[in-house]
Amino acid sequence: MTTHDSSSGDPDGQSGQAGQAPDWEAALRRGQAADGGQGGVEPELGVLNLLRHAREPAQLSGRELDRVWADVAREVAGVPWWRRPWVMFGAPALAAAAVLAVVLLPGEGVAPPQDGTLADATAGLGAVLQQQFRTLEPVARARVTAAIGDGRGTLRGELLARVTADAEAARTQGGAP
Amino acid sequence: MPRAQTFMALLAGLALGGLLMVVGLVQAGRLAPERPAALVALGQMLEAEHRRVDLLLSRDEIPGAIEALEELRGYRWPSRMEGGDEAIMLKHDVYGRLLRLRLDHPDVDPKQPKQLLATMEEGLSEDYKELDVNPFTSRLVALRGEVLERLKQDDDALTAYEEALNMNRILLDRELGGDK
Repeated sequence: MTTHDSSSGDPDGQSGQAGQAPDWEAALRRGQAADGGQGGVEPELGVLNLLRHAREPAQLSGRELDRVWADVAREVAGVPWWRRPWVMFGAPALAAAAVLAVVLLPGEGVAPPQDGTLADATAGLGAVLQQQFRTLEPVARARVTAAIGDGRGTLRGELLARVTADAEAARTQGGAP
Repeated sequence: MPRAQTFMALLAGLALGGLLMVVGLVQAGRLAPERPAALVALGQMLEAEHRRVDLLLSRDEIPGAIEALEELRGYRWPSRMEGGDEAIMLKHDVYGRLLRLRLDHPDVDPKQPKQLLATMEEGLSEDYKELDVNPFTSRLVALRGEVLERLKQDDDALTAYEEALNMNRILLDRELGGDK
């Protein structure tokens, strides 16, 4: 219960309990209610509180002062653009949409994924093997050609031996050379 | 008669050892072909045919080149025993060249991938793994991978590619080892 005692050190009728409105504030609000709630008492209350603080400044701790100045600085500086609500909520959504677009939409010249890693593994292997064959082919072909040449040499020797034997046989039989 | 038994055992051992050596050499392809004439005839015939195909290709007569190689499919190819490993390599070379042209020019005398696979199997035969590793056989194995890829048999295609890569790896190691 709020008490009003002009002879005490509380000429403003501050309540002994924190949080309760002083008598004069209550009186202002009663008057406003009597007028049907018209107008507002907030500006008057703000001026009254300012005058009261100027007459007897309230003692604030260091932490409270820092908080007050931080609030003031924040209000003076305003919210940076990158902390505005539309940026903080909209940017992640736009980034997610861009990632989805890059992943899902096929670009020019890029084929959509077929069977995953298996198609990727076979792709290009044919060309690699063809290139390896071009590298190995000359030496292999030379060896095959050499083998054919050796075979030809063997046949030539057999042919000469056969001809020589036939000639010898004809000579020994008394036939014409 | 222990001396006779010892002599018989020695003869049996020599015979067995000689047989194993012959079998091993045949498996390694180091034995001369039984019929060198077959290899020589095959080689000389193919030399002329390949030059004909080269000439046709130089004149951009792709259908003629493919037709010339297709005619060789009906040739009586000598077996491995008759012509040695080289005869089989020459056969793989011809089939590889034919399949390469068909894959590069699918609009010329179009063939279904299954038909190409049948052609490849006809040229490769079942005993190709017994041959000495060579580039002509590895190319034919790689072409099998390409044909299987067109048939959407990616697992089998990958197996074929891996086999061809292993063969080429052996060949490259052999060539590089010989240069050291």
